[in-house]
Amino acid sequence: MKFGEKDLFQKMPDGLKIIWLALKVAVVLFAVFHATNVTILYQGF
Amino acid sequence: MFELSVGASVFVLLLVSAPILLRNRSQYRNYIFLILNLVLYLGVIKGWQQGVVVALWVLIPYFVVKNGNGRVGPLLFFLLFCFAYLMQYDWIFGPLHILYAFAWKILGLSYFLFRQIDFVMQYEYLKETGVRITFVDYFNYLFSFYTLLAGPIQRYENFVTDFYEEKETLTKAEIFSCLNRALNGYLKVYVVSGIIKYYADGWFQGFGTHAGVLKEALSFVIFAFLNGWYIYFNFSGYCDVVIPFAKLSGITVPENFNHPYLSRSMVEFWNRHHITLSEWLRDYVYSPIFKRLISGPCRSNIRLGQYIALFLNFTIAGIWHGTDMNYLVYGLLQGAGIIISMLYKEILKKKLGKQKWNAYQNHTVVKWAEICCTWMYICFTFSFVGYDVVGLLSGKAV
Amino acid sequence: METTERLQEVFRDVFDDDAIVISDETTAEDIESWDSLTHVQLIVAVEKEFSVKFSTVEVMKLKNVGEFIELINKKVR
Repeated sequence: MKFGEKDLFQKMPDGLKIIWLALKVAVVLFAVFHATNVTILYQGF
Repeated sequence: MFELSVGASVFVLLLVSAPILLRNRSQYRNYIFLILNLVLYLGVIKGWQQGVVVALWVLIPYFVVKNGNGRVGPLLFFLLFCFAYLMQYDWIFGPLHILYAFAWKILGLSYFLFRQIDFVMQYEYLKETGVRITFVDYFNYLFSFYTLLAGPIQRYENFVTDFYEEKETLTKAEIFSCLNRALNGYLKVYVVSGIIKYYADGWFQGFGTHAGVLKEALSFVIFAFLNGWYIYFNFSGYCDVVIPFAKLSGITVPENFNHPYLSRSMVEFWNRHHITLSEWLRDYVYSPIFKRLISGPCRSNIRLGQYIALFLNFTIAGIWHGTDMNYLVYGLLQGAGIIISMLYKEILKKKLGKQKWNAYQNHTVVKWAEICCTWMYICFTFSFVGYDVVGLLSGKAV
Repeated sequence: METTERLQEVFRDVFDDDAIVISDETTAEDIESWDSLTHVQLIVAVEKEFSVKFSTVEVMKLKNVGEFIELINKKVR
């Protein structure tokens, strides 16, 4: 998914880029609030 | 979970507001950055005792080198001792029967340590070459909210030079690319690594309930496979978030990953995974140890000196990751893996001769076999990171 | 013998290549076997040849021959 996606993204018109990014934001928010409680691998605590 | 969401939300707010506040080249830019960094750190401090410890940890080295005579030995020993104590390295302090009465856990301590050591060791050189050193810059170097939580590790000289460098205005396309990379990073962390972690946890908890050695072994393999991917997506995802956002603020955060699981050997792996850590260790652990050895006890056997230096280097890398026995084992296994990698290369090269060796190396089957073996070893050793495999194995022995 | 000549001999010895010719601009990219392993070996050989000592930071910073020569001359003085 990620390997071709960067090039594809660059070729999109600005409007489509915004929609695509907004979609990703929505997926992340859904994951954070409903699906997962993963944290990043921070250290010190 | 609630606490995490608040912390994560604050972090996002910082990521998003920093470019707006820092993109200009005002003379107060370093102070603005200082305030942003303080916002994050004060938000995560859990009590005044922690605050005091952090303040001391930050102030003492700075003023010691500033007023010092250039000898950093005692200061380094002090830093390492405090680090081991504050992190509560049981297998050091347990046998010494020292209480952890003052060992308040500090966020980012592991990364602070490496940055402090770089600053302390380089101080004389920095002064000589006229690199800018102020307390504000030093503070920002340590507390940069981009790298506080999970790296990458930076050198003071690179950080400060970069911070005050004139940067070209980013094009619209570049800004979009940055946001895209950051969101891909978020997807990697919260979606991909989240899903993988759920299953990895499940497989790990399943140990002891499966019948038969073969089934247990298979469970372990699946668990290790999942855990390896979890670590990659979580860690590199985080870097994918902070690097582009920092770029939007006109700050360069170094890359830390380069397709690590395509490595053909453990040596290559450490040049592709947590790159800034490998470089730091190479400069501050491997090189000094290797140099000491080949100037003295190993002067007639350079290979041996190299193997010893590498083994120690990676054992230390492992120990730095965590304080219990699992990380010691992880470190020793990294050291062993490196030695095996190097012996494999050395022995085959000698046996095949230069031409045949080149042909061997370029063979597709060999290439993929090496990648597979390396990846299996990586996943096997990663299982000690974050999971109490030592406890599991010793529990089973009972 | 001038510093550059003596240093060139050290390079030829450490990298096992009598054809090596160094100039102020020579860096690790110009010599195939100059990596982090041989870098340290080079440092130790230079220390022996010129009777000087390099610190950890100096070892890290020496990126080209010109810097080597400058530092050697400074230490030998």
